Amino acid sequence: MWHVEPTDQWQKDVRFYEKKRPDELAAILRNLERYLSQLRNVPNSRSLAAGYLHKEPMGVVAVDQKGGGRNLQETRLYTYADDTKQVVYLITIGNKDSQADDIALSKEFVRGLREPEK
Amino acid sequence: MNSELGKKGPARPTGKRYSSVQDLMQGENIAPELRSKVAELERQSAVTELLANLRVAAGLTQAQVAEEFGVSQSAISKLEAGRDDDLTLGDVRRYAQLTGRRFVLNCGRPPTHVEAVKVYAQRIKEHLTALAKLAQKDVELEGPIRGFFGDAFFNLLTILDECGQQMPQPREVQVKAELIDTLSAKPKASVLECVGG
Repeated sequence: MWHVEPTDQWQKDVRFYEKKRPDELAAILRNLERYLSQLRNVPNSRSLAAGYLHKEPMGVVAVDQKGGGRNLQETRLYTYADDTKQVVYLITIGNKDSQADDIALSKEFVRGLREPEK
Repeated sequence: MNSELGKKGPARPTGKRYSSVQDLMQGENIAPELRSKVAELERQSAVTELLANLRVAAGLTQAQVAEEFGVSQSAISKLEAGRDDDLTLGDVRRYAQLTGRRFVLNCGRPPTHVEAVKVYAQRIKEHLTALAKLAQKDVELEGPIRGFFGDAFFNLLTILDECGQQMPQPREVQVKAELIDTLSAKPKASVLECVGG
């Protein structure tokens, strides 16, 4: 059974979005629900494709705000699904402006997760 | 760096795990208003989510569905990520056909409490059966699932007990059992008498 695990950065981001962009946060949480629901039906998270999911380097998957309504700011929740542990890590939340930094931060996070396995 | 969001540090796992977004929102103290917004979005897109899940479970890609429907892959992507209000009955019927499912449209009175309990009981049975199958396939999952079965058994009994305690006290009843002489078919003796208080 899949679980989600937030990072400390995600916890900080959530507090910001809760105050400043609640509609965007609700939309990405709803899409996270959809993502988890679909993960239960596939043998491998990498095989999953959906309009609200964006594949980034190193297995990072960004969940966007699509379906949450009109005039929402483009927002992405960066995640990493560990198929062995069946855990989706919630790394950070960002917008278009922070995209490059968010991807870099997410890649760094995944690198950190993989290091102890060496 | 985006000034609106401030400087971000390296992300570290918190070790807190949640089995659903509902649990996540509760455990991370997300404001009730925001949780209501998520629930509202869920209500508005329950069917589109179901269709996407049917497709994925059937091992179909959006491109394959698009080809069958004679539309673009992005149209399917939009449909699955969209709201139920934007669907047509034809969309639902065709998804059902493609994925080998039955499409049943049921409009009627809301279920009675007894009917609802029976439906939920059936659903619980289906999920527990699915978990048992998972345990058969995966040795690592067997322990946790066995534990969950124990918890579920206890929780279900607790629910029945708690609800049963809310029932009115039974009125005084008399139960009388008689032993019948099968040969003569005459009452032989009164052997049991129970009085409930």
